[in-house]
Amino acid sequence: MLSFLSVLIFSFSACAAPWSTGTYSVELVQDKEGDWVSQSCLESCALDQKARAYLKENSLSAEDLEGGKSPGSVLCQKLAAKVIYLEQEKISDAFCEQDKEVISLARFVRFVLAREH
Amino acid sequence: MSCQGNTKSDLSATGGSLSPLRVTNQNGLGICHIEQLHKMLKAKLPGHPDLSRVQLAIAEKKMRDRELTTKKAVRWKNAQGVGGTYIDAGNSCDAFNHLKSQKICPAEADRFEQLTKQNPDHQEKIIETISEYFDSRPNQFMWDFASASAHEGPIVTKLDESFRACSLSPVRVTQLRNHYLAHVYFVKTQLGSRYAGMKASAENLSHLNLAMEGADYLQGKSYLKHLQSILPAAEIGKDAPTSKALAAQITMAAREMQSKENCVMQNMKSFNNLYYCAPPLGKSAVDVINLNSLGLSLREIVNILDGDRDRDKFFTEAFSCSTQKVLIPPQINCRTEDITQMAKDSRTESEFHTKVDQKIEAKLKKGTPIGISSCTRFFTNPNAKTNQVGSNTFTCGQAGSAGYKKGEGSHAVTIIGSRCQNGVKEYLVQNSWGPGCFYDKSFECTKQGGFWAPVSTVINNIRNINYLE
Repeated sequence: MLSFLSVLIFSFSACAAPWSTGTYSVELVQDKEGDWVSQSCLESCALDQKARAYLKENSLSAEDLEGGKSPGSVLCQKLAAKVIYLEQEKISDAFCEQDKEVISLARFVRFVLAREH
Repeated sequence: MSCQGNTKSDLSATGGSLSPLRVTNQNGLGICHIEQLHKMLKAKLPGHPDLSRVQLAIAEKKMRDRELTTKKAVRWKNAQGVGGTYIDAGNSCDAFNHLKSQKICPAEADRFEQLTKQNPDHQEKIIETISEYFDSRPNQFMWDFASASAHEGPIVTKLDESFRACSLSPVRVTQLRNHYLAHVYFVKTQLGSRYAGMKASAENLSHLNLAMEGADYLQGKSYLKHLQSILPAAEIGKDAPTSKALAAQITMAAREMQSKENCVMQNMKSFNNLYYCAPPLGKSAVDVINLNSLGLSLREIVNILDGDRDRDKFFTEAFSCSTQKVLIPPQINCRTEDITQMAKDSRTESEFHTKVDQKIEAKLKKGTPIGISSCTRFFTNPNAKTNQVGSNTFTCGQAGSAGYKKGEGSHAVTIIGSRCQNGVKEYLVQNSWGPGCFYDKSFECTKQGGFWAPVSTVINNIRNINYLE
């Protein structure tokens, strides 16, 4: 019951906003770092865990990142997920998407930079 | 570096030479130096136009490929011989010099940039295609089978990952990799303009007629007849061994196509999968292009894929905004200054920081952004130091150097402002990884994907600066 309430409180604290591209639209919320993610990924989700698991076993090489590629994007592609651009009002950002889970690439960049520090 | 007062300059603020500043994200494109040039041009050109970064990248690649010899290209790939353990895609002044006197489309008139806003599936294919075109740089290397594997490294890695994801055996992965390399080799070396007809034949074999056994087709009468129609009699014997080898490979690919490789094909994702795809998958890629009114037939796409010259033509023609293009005036020049050399020539860190800061501040005062080739190490480490006073060694990417991080590398970003904050001078560093804030917690982020970092931290990690004048 307690955990149900805490989930309820937490979910109300995150304000959902529609992000879209063309006819594709998805509701995203901001996590504690300010990154936009789908509700299911607010804490952690399959895509998020897949990224962490990948980085546990692998590193992005200098060649992967050649030309200053966004590490978040490279990580997303390593997971065979899709890099997408979405817009909300006049803000534009890039995300990693797989099986309806959407995570801002900023979170993935954070994973890469934090891990290798 | 200490300072006094509350001075602040920000070229992206209202009225500044970079206002309004578009937030950009390179994603899978290795174009950081182009992102930098994009800002340098916006600040310098009359009216501060927001040019297409994608077109800048593609136009530069085309010019660069034309000029570079293989030897130079290898040097380029190794960051012009410096260090050799990190990799640059390029330098913004080199890019500028390639593009000088060219006309570039504004971003809003760029078909690719507009297309990437429409549909996630389209975005992915378009980005992958541009990425492959821009980053694989096949024109920069001489093709020989022995070294094709090394040159094709990133693509091979990608393919291997795709194959593994589809649970193919390691033996089969190797076979398919070799098939890919053989095919690339064949296309690049054997199917040049001299064998234009054979090129058409190979395209039939490699995807259009995959339902037919490749070997049967190659060894059948129709193949010989076709060869005889396009080649002088003396040439047929010469090509026979290669053709047989190709036949075997195509047969192998065709057999597998029915099962697990359908999965592989889906994972390959780039337009180059047309080489290997069964018609339904090939069609979906073609549909993307047709849907977006680029008006190309499958054959035209194959031609684009088969020859870099055609692919260049395709990309060039895709930017057909002739009435709206912006000319880069010939009187604008780009300068590069070697900061690592300045570190060597300085006696103290304070002297080094002051000399570099004076250069940067003077440019900022004129509304000129400064492109820097820097080490990503400092993004999450304010104490990172890849320049050493008294030495011209730039340790970015060198395992074992203090503060080294695996995956770090030289990255082009842009200084677009400065301020005095609590007695410490800071630069506003504009990145091109979207609006996210993933830097050291002590750095204040902007909503446009920039961050304020101490001048000393930034200067300690700059290899060179680039600016227009």
